[in-house]
Amino acid sequence: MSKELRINSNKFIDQTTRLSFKFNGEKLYGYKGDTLASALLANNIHLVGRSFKYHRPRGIMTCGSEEPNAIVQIGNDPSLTDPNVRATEIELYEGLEAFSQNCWPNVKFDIGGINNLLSPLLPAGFYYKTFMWPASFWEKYEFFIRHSAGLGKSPTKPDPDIYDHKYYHCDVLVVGGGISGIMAAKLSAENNNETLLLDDKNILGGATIYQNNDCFQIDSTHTNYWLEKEIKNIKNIKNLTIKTRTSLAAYHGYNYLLAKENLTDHLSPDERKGKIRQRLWKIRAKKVIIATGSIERPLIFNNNDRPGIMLSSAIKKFIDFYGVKAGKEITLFTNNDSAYETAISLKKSGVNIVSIIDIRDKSSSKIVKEVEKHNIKIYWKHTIVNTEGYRRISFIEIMQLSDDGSGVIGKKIKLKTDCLGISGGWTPMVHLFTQSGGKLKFRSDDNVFFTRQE
Amino acid sequence: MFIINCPYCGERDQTEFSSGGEAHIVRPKQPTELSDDEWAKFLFMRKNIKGIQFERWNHSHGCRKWFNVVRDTSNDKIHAVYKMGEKPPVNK
Repeated sequence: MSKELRINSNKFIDQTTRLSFKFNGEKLYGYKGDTLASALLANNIHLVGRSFKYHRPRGIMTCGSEEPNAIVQIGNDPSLTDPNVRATEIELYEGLEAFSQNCWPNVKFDIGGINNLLSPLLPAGFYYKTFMWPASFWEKYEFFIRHSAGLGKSPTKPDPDIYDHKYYHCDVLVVGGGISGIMAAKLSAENNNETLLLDDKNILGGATIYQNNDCFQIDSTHTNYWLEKEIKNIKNIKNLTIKTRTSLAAYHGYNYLLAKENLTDHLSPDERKGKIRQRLWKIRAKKVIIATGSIERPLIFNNNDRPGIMLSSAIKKFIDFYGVKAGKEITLFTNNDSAYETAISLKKSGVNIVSIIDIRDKSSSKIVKEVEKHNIKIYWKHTIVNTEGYRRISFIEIMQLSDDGSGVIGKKIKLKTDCLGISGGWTPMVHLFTQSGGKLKFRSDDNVFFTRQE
Repeated sequence: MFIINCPYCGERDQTEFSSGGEAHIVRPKQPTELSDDEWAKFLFMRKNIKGIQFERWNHSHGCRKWFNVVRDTSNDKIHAVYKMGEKPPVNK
């Protein structure tokens, strides 16, 4: 583990308990409290997998359930192996074994990468159109096509684990244990409603629990300390049941909801023996409160899929929650104020910020002024036109935007960086609401689809 | 999965019930006098409404009694439940 990518004194990570794990056969170390993603980043590994068709290198992009890239195979036991697990969701345990998917012979040198060079010859629909003729050749094609289809390997032997299911009835179900979910659950339980609070992470608090920025305060305390106190208090409310490591999967009619509780996936193989692995909760609630928060949007530019390009909010969580620096020289690219929160967190932890590239003309918000005090170079009204670096981002090219924003002007500026945080605003997680039959409406003041009240 | 308020047992989960199709279909008094077409119409032809529908349900994993339900098929909202032989509480 690279010491220089860790910061000390972090209360969410137990730095006294070191855990060993293997990634693609290489023995690495992390701490108790890490996810596989944060442990890999602490070992300076961004390259985790390969894209499906062109086998382009893929790195960790987010730090939660929205992860699209860093999906891995866990274990290689023929009955227990688990394909397509998000590295950001699996908690690190002693003896964890993970493998990259969709690459051969290995993730750093992948023969399939040749598809990327041939990509002009492999348009959408290439396989359908090419392998249709002559018809008698299908059996020959099939061998190769079956070989390259799908991600990961399924287990070949029966699953020995024990699973459970449970019916649950409550007055109020609160989905999401962030600040709003906690407050909703508290109010509901204090008003004599049997309340169930669910969160998919191992601890409550969402993104607020590590928000220690001076610009975000409640009752003159940093929001993280304020919320910590609230969490301590709600644990004593008698009508309130709290379930962590439980993710809601479906919202059916008449408030019938399904949730999956992970009971042993965070334990080492020895500790799992004889225990129930997962429990399916079948919940019937009188009222449901959806407090699932938002996810950050990426920004669009040439080659924005290289390992090392992450959401700016993910970089913030990795530094503030896991105590891991996602890079040594980080650049941020944004169209809103959120990236400046990341900048302040990085500066506090002593990470070098190359510069901030902002599409806007300027911003006069409090948090931007705070960043300007730190002497960080901000390129206002600039945009990224290209990036370099095959297995990890190494350079970005930026240009100034024209006055109407439709084109670029001036000279290209080339900046060296090993990690790029992008922030394109926030999208509310309305999935459950729409699944329950709710309709959405576009809200133009912050460019999001939001719930429509009938 | 909706909840049905069985007139004999109270609110139960849909999994306890089985659907018996459209309600209030009157059996012809003299089946022998019907043409094949008319008999087939009675046996098989059912309305498939999008909207308010009158249905028979059986509490098959409970009291095993039959009853009628007025349900909106577009959103599964149940407007009324009444016993066999009773008049529908809402207009047909």
